[in-house]
Amino acid sequence: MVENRKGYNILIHTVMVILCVLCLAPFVLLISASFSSESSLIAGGYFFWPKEFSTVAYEYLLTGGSVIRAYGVTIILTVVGTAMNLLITTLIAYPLSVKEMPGRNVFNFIVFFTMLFAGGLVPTYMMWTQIFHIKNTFAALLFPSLLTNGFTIMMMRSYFQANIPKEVLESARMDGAGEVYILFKIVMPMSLPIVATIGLMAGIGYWNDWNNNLYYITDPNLNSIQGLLNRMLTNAQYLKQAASIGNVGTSAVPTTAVRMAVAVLGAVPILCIYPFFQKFFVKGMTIGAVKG
Amino acid sequence: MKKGIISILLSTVMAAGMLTGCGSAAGTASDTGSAASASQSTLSDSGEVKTISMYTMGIGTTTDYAAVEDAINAISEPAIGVKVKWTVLDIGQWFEQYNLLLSGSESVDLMPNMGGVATGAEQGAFMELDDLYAKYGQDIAKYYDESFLKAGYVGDHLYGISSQKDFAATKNITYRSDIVKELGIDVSNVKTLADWEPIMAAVKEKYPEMAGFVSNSGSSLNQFDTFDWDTLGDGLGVLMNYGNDTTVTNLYESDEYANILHTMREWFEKGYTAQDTATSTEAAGDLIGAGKAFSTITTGNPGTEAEYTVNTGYPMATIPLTDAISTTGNITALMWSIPASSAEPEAAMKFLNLMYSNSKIMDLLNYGIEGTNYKVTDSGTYDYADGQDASSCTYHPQMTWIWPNSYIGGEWEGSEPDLGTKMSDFNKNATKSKALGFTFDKTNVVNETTACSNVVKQYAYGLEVGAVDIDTVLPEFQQALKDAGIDKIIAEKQTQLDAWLAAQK
Amino acid sequence: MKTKSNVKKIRRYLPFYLMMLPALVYLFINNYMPMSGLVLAFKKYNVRDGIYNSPWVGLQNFEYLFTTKDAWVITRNTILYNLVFILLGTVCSIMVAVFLNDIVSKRAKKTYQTIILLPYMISMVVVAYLVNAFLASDTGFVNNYILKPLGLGSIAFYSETKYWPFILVFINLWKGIGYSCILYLANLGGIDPGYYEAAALDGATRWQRFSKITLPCLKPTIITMTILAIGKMFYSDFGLFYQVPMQSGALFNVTQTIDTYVFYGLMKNGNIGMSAAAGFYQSMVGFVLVLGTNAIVRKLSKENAMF
Repeated sequence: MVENRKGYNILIHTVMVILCVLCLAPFVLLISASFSSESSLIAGGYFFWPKEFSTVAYEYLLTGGSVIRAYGVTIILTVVGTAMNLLITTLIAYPLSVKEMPGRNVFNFIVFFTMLFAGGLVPTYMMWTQIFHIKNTFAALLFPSLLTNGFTIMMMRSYFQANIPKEVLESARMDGAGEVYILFKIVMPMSLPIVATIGLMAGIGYWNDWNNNLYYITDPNLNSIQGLLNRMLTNAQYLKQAASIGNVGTSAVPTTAVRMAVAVLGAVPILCIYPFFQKFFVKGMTIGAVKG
Repeated sequence: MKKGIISILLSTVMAAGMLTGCGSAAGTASDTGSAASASQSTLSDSGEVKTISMYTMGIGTTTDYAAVEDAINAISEPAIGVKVKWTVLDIGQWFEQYNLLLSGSESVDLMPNMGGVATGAEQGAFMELDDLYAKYGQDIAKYYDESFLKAGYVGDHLYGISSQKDFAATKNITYRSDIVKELGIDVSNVKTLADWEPIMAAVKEKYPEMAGFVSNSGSSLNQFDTFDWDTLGDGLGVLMNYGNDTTVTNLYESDEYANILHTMREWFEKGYTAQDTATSTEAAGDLIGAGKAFSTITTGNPGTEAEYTVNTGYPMATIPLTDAISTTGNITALMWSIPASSAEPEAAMKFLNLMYSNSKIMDLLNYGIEGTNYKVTDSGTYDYADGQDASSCTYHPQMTWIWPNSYIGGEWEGSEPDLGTKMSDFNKNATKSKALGFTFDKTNVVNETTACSNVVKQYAYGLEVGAVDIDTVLPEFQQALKDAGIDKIIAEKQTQLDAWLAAQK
Repeated sequence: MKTKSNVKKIRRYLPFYLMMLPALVYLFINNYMPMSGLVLAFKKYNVRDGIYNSPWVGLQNFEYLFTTKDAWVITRNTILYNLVFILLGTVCSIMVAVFLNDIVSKRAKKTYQTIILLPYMISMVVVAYLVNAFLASDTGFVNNYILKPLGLGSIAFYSETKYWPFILVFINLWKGIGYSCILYLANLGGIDPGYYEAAALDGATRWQRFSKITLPCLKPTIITMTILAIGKMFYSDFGLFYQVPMQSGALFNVTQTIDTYVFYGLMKNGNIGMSAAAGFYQSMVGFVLVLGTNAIVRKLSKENAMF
């Protein structure tokens, strides 16, 4: 048994280390490229350390303070958006997990249907801008992707169904507890892993969102970090196409190194926050008050 | 049961959407109508100042738009009684937002488009400009050759007015002239693609690490989309011989095309062409600038040499392989239009007219505010203001080509001197395709066009840089086009072209 | 009697309905209202007439998806890649999640987990550059530093179709595993360790514990995720199939999916009706597939069905 445990541990760590190398190597390449001079990238290709060290890409990105400001917008957006997402997701997921609720199947279907059919960009855009007038407001970053569709609701509902014993809920109801009380004082504490997961997914979603920025924001003060970074990427692509039409100075085009720096700046902060979420996945976290 | 739910669900949603949707659509439509008719009757010199909304594209590092807008309004308000509210979208954002801007949910009065005039007009997104142009476009007409104006017509109406730019193009070889000079090679005899090979051979001997040839923009554009034929919009059915032959021909089965492919294949097999050029995403200018390549093929005008010299940092020269040809596509590549939902079309046309004719406004749009963004050098050219350069300057969009008449403004240091006159001569002397002004309406063959575009994308890129074997791939390509219905497109094009030609007489 | 029990029922369930209200209102606004735009698929769109007054054209907008020779290739590619992604993606992310869950050292666990999430954080455009850095024929890492020292000839990856099914599957797994295993990890965290302790006392092998305890606990999640993935069967990750192969035409036979085909075909036409038709077709097929899968799941085990 002990021997077996040891062998298994070696297997696990070997697999994970290989996996990590696979994931890390390109990222090292990415960071190295972001610190390389443009001409060395084009001439010599990418390598695991810069052949010609240069911080020009980061200087280009960080001048003018727009990146700092965009970080601020993104951080507020991510916090507010994640909180709102968790709140309304939990509020609907809990009733949907209660099997006796009349009409449950209908509501399930209403939620589920949104995952398959979407009206498309133009009608969605017209609705948000003409009826709700959210263009160039913070709401434009927040609302169109609050719940992109019913995905997180379905996930949380499944978790509640599988992991919250019915007996617990029933005994609480017997004691006269209201449903809101049950949800927030009993169900939620027992469901920290899924709450953390969906919070994390929503958080990553908001952090990485650039679509709303692209469609609804023209005021540079409201740029989110990914919106800003993504614009720099797409500008470069389109300028090259435009170069065939008129005299476009390619000196204005963000270089390869800048594009790599963009990826680094976009990814690093969330990777710093990520480990804090992980404690919620630790085995046995939920086992406290109740045992099945 | 389930069926019931779905249908109820759908019908409620549809109804809700219909209500709101209809309301808004009807709203914009009637707004336009009333506004247009109202302005027709009342605007006649009532002295009221109109504000128009103009959208253009720009590049992120430019931030001084507001100051420039104020300076423009200080000129335009007294001159024509029009103020402009100018919104700049990053060029990447522009292409994503373009359809949304045209959807009628945005109030836009004036905007440029890149080759989108026919689609926009077919979708009813642009306003007919015939009357507006006749009434308020006098200054535009001064700069605008009547034969080029025709390109802005879709069907019977004028929908777009082009910027003053190159209305024609040559295909060139563009190369590093410093290397040619260093090796003492004589390039004066180079007239065709095939003539270029010995030059590359000589360069390769001296610089074995340098590719003799790289394609322009790698995989995002095909190399020989234009040459000495008129593509009639999409290259699916072209007019050969500078558009003088009015029989719509399948380019990809022509001898001319096959000859080009054979030359390119030879270059590739002999190792002159960069081996990954078919899929490289680096622009040719960047590769040449990095010392990795010697020459490329460009679509050019009198400004090309100077442009490439600036972009690559090496002295560049060009050799034309064709005469200049002028087609509808050359002119519609950048046009100004007034969206159908515009509330102030007259003011918009007046402002466009002013941009065309006022050199101060053009300087503002091109380079920003004198003293802050640029300075006038002793020789009269413009340059970055003291202490600034390309990266620190807060207004220098480097997109002068979108402005209606950038040549009436000052010249930037290092650009081709007197480009406006040269360009105008170039345009005048270009061979005009007989189909200049003809725009193909794809409606009847839209499925075939979609399929053929995909086929071209699949085969042409590799073939045109010589990366694949011609004997096997070209017949495959031709067959795939046939299967995708190119013959139907060609027949439809011919019918429309014949009708158009007959109407021109 | 009946009304009385109804009143009681309403009082009992009213809080539930109120709790659901915010999300339902939101979904109605954000998801259902714009759905009326689906009618575009059956119209010849004209800005002046608006979405709802444009003329009807029947099924004309759908023709191009079925009439050409490419229809078979793009449908085949889309479905096959998705099948492989669903199968391998599920197996691999469960495996990684179980491994991570079994690691005792908290620090090692955190480190591993953060590192494998890295690829998810990078946009496909950048992934395409990184892949190019490895595969480019002139400057690529594989050709320069692996094949050359081994004395092998260089491979022109971007014009050889045979490598791409593997490359694309690998990138999909590489990019998605860190994210998708989060969900399974959360579920593993919810399993009562008491089960394992009891099983270990009974002398169950590791595999038995996995198949008898872990898998059944993950079953609801696996089923939900799979049904959802099946609903997206006719969609493809546009970035993966468009950016990563560098739009190389020579690879179209193995890289072209419905989404990229629609994109290439419509880029020049800008036909909103035709792109709406493609979206409608994808949704419709997904819808039918989901209902079918759900019906099968329902037959096999009722409590695991989604609705």
